Amino acid sequence: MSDLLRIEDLHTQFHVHGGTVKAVDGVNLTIPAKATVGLVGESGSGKSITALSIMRLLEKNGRITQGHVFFHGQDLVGLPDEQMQEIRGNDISMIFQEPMTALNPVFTVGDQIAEAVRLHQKVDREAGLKRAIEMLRLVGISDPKRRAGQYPHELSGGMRQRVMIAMALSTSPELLIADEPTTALDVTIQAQILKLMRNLKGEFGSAILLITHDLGVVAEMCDSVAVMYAGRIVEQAPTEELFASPKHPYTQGLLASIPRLGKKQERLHVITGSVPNPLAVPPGCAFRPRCPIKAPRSDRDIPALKPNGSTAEHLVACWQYE
Amino acid sequence: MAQVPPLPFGPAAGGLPGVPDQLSVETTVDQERAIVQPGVKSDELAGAPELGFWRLAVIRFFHHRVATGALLILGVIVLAAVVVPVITGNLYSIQDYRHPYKAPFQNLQHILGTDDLGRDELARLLRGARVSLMVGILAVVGYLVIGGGLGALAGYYGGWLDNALMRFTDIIISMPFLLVVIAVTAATGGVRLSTVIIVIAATGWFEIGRLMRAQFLVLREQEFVQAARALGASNTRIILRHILPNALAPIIVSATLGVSGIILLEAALGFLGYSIPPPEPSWGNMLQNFEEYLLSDHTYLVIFPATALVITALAINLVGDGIRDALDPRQR
Repeated sequence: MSDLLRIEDLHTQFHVHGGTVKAVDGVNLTIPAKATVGLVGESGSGKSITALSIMRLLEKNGRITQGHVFFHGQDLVGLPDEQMQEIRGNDISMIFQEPMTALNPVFTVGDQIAEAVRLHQKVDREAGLKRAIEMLRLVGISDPKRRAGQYPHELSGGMRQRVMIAMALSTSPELLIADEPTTALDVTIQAQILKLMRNLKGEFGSAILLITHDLGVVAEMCDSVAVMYAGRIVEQAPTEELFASPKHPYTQGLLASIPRLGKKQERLHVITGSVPNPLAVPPGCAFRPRCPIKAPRSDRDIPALKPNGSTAEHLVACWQYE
Repeated sequence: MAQVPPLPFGPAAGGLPGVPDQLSVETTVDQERAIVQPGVKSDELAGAPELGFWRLAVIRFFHHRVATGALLILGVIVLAAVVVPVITGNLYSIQDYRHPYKAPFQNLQHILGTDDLGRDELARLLRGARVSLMVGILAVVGYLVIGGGLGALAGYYGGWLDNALMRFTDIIISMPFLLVVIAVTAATGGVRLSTVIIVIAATGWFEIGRLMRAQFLVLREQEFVQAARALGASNTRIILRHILPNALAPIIVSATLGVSGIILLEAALGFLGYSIPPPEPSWGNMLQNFEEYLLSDHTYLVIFPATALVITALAINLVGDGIRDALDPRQR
């Protein structure tokens, strides 16, 4: 299996008032070509920052302090800005959580998709617009010619997210990073968008890094899943394997807290405690304060992500398996 | 081919005509309008052309009666100032010592009478309008270039550049305008219109500069800017294409109101003798001897230029208010 993107020991830090936040603290993740990889975790776990680090779109106070992001073997960390600009939108595209605000309100959607094309391909306005209409049709928007002439405020949330997808895919990127693409949409539209993404993946052959906190979305979409907690990946496995036999106490807790149909439950399972203060992450395993197991050594040393599960592809970072 | 199957609830399923289908993914403004205006059938609206922000703003502007009237008056003033002096040539400077202080509305040759040197007052007013309008427009262009440019850079890049530019702005704000005009006039060897325009532009841009900076500070954090960056757009492109058009509305309003402010400022300078030198008339220097005229029988020599000044400034301000309402309907 050829690796499209390989993240090695990525560290991203933010300087804020009161100290340094290690938002991403040693992430290793591989995305094979044409695969869909899910990245799950709760708010503040570092999922989005991982994505922004790949794209090198961090805010000014954020910096990649260590590690590599290999795309086709080329390290994106330290690549000159001009070259990075070439890759953005062309080889790696990104769609955002909020379709209501991710489109420029003063241009028609057709113009905006055409711009995405023309940033990377030497085509004239006419051809760009033609491609835009073609893309709108592909993402399932009826009457694409008329829609191309409309402004974002004239479209519903679901349609805008389709437009965002059309924009991101208009250059046939090899990797699509989708940062909570359906979180802001209601459930019926969510299902449509997910289905659309699955279909288009077949069409364009793009790999997808799907960032979400919704395990249902992961189960539906992904080939493999990585679970993030406090800036680190704590478990990674093929989707079915992870759902069938989660190894990390955090993953186990997450899965146990999903309500199940047909099962009578008085109360839902909860993981006690809360996410550690990003300015004061405890030494050792960051999950230890909330962990029911509290394996020895976890109070001192950070466990490494290793194939401790049943298969070689199932990686987990927990001292209890040492 | 990746096609999403038609929705069971969509318009294709044959919902009632004219009834907006809440379950459809394609609930658009057309249909929302239909909700707001139940008397209008939605298919009538569906046939209407899609209106962009600016076109809607133009429509809203012309629904504003006062602003439309003001624009009309302003149009007449501008047209007269541009066209009439071309026809009348140097009439404004022809002196007629036999007929000074001719009262207005007495004969057709000098409708608004003549001044102390027997020059035609109407010709002078229109010639002066040119000066006032030209100063107003050119200085505002200066505001936009300097203030707009520096404000955009400060707001977009932030950090030390922002700090440096804002402190520079503080210095500019603290400058005593009149003393600068007098000093520059003295240093450049005489009163010239170009000096006036440059000094006004160089000292007055800060309001638009701060406005532009504020706009950029807000807009650069918007998700669509991030999205544009993720598509591989360069900084220049993001500034010019993605942020600037979204920042323009309050800038346009401020620039419009700026024109009237500058016209009044130029008049004040003209009155003090620091604007365009005679024999070229400006509304300011036509008012130079106003105390004398007010006490004589020749009050019309004060009333005409003063009225022209007030009407023009008022018209511009009303147009500016109209533009503000048109660009931001919530403010009404």
